[in-house]
Amino acid sequence: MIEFERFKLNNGLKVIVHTDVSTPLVSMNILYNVGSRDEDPEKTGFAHLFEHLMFGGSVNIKKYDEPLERVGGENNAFTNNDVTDYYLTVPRQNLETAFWLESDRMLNLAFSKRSLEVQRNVVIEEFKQSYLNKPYGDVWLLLRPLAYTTHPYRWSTIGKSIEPIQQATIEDVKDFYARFYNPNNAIMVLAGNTTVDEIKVLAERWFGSIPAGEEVIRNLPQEPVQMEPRSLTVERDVPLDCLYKAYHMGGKMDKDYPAIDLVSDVLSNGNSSRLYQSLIKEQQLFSDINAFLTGDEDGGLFVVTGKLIKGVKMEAAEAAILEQLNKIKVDLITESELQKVKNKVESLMTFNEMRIQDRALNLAYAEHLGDINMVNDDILRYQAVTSEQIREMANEILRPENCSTLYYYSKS
Amino acid sequence: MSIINRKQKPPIFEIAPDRKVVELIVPKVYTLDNGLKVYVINAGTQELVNVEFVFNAGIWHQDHLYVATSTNSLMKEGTQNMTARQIADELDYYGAYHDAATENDSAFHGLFTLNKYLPATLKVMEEIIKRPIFDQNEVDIYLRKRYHSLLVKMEKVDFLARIHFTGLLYGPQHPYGRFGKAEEVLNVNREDLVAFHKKFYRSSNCQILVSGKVEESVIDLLNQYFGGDDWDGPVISEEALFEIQPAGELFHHIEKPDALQSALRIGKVLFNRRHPDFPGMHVLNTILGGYFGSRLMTNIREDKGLTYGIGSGLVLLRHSGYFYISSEVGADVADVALDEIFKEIALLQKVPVTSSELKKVRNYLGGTFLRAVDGPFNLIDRFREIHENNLDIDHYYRMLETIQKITPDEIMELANRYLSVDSLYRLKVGK
Repeated sequence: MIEFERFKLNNGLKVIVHTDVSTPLVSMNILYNVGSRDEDPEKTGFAHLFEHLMFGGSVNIKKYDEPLERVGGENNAFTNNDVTDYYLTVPRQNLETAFWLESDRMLNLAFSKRSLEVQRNVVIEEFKQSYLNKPYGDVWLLLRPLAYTTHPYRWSTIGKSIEPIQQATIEDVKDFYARFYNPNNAIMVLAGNTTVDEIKVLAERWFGSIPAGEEVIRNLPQEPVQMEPRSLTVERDVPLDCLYKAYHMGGKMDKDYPAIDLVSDVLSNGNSSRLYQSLIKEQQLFSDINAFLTGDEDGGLFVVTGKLIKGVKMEAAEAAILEQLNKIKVDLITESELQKVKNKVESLMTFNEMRIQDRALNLAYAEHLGDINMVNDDILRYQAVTSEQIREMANEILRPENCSTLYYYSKS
Repeated sequence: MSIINRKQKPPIFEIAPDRKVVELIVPKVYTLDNGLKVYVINAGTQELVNVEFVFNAGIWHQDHLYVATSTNSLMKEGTQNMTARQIADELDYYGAYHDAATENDSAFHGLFTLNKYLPATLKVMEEIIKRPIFDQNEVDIYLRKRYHSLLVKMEKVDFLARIHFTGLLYGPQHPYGRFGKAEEVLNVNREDLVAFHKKFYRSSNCQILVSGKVEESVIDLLNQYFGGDDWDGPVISEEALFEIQPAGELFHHIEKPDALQSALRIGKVLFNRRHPDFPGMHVLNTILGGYFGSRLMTNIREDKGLTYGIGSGLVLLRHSGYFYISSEVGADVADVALDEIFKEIALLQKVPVTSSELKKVRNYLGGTFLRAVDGPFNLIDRFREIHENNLDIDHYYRMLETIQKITPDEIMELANRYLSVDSLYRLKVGK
């Protein structure tokens, strides 16, 4: 049970406090409601590039990291399709420095041209390191535009390609900042050795005077229902053939999300799962297999992927996956299989509460999704799922006409 | 509302963890009926427990390549009383996580479970640890899977750099330096696995570390499943020793003509935690490349934008240790990056660190220590680090004292003694 209190500043900043006095530390997590889905299709990769620029100095502070390290703190950030999240952990006695730093970059950035130049290069190197210079690194650059024709989920957070990152200007940076980096578009969580009274004072002192911005109204093009199977075949310099099947599904808050999540767990969570047992151990067609959800808010993907054993034909491998998918569409899973995947969810959720930093993120994300109580009662949604629902969801999602398939062949 | 002065930073409080913080690392020690030692750290707020079985059964102890890792990984793939499938079903049913990891010096079987399922899952762990059968079919499946995964890894410049680099430092015959081709994993034979298990996975060669929100009953449970004399064996009194045979040449280049980035590794053999200069080198390494604000990161990423990341580290092993710098940089700027790396090392040798930078590093490392002892799983890891090297918590007192007291001159002296340019190996994998 994660206990918390909430309040809101006049400028719209939502603040959540979770007290845990067993640690000498406090974690601060600030989630901005902006992700790569909010980008101009001609300027993809910008939300993530912008995240880098948030460390390049703000109006009163030359560089973000240095003062934080000076007080014994550590920080990082991530960007995905939906949100951008900044988090830090600091010894409790130096908590105020965190407020000073985070409020200054919410108030105004320095918009340094030099920082833009350097971070453009850093992000281009990141693009190369994670997406171009690694075997299978470009999979999501191929799979997203295949699965999505219209919604901004059709590009990856890193961007469609390197070029728009190279062309980003300081005006782009200023516009983006003015639109999205406002207190009324953010959620701040403090977790650890602190109290709600202390945070009320600090939040008011440092964030209270930051003016609210215009409300962000999202009007994203919706993805039309996929009516027929799609596929893409590529050949790359990789050692093994690989197969990806991506099925459209609803968003994270969709009432069926837990049931669909459990479908993927039945298929591939743990060594006892169906795909592992049948395709790796019994039929020995794959060296690696996985089923997972991307979890995107506006409708994500249910992905099944595997690397083929050398010499196995793609057709045979795909047929074997489809046979397993068909099984879960026809036969009800047993009570004990159902209990197993629910138990796994319960322990995973408990593991995800071990660190204050994770608790802070869980709280921020649940609040962002619109129901903070999910941090404690999401498990009930999973526990209520029945075998019938699992079969129903498998039938609804795992249809050929709902699927985009990527055949990723080895050149050799 | 009063207007705050944002130019004025809040007061900075010194972060110097005291003895009380270090004492959190001291576990309660129990002895099972067969003499097996159990170390328990009870802390935390979540109903979770981690039981870790540690064996002297690392890469160091194997006669043939891939035997230590394969033995460890295959122990869960079928036992005298349970099939591989039954083991997987049981552990998954209880939502438990079993992790078999093999390092250079030790092998581990970790069990993470909710407290309420500890009795049921420990019973499965007993099978895994005492009674694996290494069925030939399971061995074949595992080795083929491993072979395929190695084929993919061998295409990554950072992985290639890592294995070739330790090869240069320790030589191809030394357990810390030896590596093989992917296909060699297919040569592992079942008899070697059976023999390795029989020799090393014994109560006399094992210790158990327990952490989390630990309940009283855990010692009784451990006694029930692991306290008997049914898995005793000869004590492995002396470890085999190996001679370090470093490469003759300092400069090495492994060609990967299509690479967009080159992986760089620079470094040398140094020492492990037991060496008196370790705490000082820990500070020196932090300044050079051990955190985001380090000199390498500041220069090569934040000033020049040549890489997504660069860092340095001290790898601490039981019989040795080494220092390394690593990065992946744009293929066309690899040589520029190398020059800058050596400039930074030379600066540390010639110019004393300013008191402002040193103050920052002292506080940063103080905070890092607090994070490193936060929660039961971190605490048991810190205990393991010293216990593996036959050190006690005085080691951490010394480390914290050095962090607070080391002088700029001492740091410069260490840089000259240990990082002289003509002692550092350089490896580039890529263009």
